[in-house]
Amino acid sequence: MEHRFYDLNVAFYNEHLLERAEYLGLSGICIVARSTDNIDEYLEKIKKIREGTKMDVVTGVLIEEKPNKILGLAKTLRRKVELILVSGGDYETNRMACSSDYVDILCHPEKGRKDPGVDHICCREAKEHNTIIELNFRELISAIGMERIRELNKMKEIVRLCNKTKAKFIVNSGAKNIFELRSGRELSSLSFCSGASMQDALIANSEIPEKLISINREKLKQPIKGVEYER
Amino acid sequence: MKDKIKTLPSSYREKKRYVVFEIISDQKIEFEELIKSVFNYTINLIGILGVAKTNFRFMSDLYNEKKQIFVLRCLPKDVELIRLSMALITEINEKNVCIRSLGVTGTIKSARRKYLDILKT
Repeated sequence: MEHRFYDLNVAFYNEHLLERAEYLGLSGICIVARSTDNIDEYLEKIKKIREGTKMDVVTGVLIEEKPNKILGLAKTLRRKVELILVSGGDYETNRMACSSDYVDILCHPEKGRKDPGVDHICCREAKEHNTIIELNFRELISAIGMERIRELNKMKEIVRLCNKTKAKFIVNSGAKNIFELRSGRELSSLSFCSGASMQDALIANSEIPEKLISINREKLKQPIKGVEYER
Repeated sequence: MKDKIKTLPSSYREKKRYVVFEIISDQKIEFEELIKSVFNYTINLIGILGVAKTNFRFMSDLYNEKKQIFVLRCLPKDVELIRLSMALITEINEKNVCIRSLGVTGTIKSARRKYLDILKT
């Protein structure tokens, strides 16, 4: 079976991006906006981008705020965009993101830390609230020497905890330029080398994001939570 | 008497996999700088002992300079490791690059056949 790979954290946009993503074999990408950006302008831009391509372009907002502001922002943005991502690093932020129903992806929980940033409690909460924990490929590319060893070690620990608690994880490129984009198989190879099984590694970048996006799109169509129009 | 061992029977030989990679870059990458970077990045990720254990080899006769395609040989269980080490390459001789894998084959012949239109010089 052929997998449809997704990259749910691309932090830039230029005219060559979609062409390159298609060439790399990605079925869909999420061009992420910051929570401080103008969301209406961003949605307009994505609408225009979608017209000119067959690729699945997903809308998403990356929240980089203090833990006490995350929940409020996520609640308001939930009705506008398909994905809510939270920039992790701080334990309180990681815990908040894992235990929130409004957050879809917790990005780089290990950033700037000596430990993986998530513990068994966070992972259990993430499993319960369907939050996906992200491994960021860019964090690995940008690290050199001893830093890269530590980064790989933290990723290995996150995958081990996710396997143990059956929480979901995903590998995103976090690309800030066109050369940092990676194909689906390359992203999957990182989770495989961090200790996941081959099947889990492939599913993490194909079926899990696809399912998440389709559920969120259904939710966006609902006028009120849980209410659907009957045709 | 010739100083050469006899060829091992096929059942005694270790299984191999050939991973075909493509270099995506704005500038042309020379063979020497490519081979240097490939070995540097692989040793950097898995170490000298790791590289030795993977039966790693750069198939220089399958290198296509025009299409910027190269083939690496390794053990079947180490394919993903090699894929990851190639994915970590972002720069070769100060030129921005992105390396993607095209596929994995079991023999050189099938690598040539499957990617014939690509590998033909």
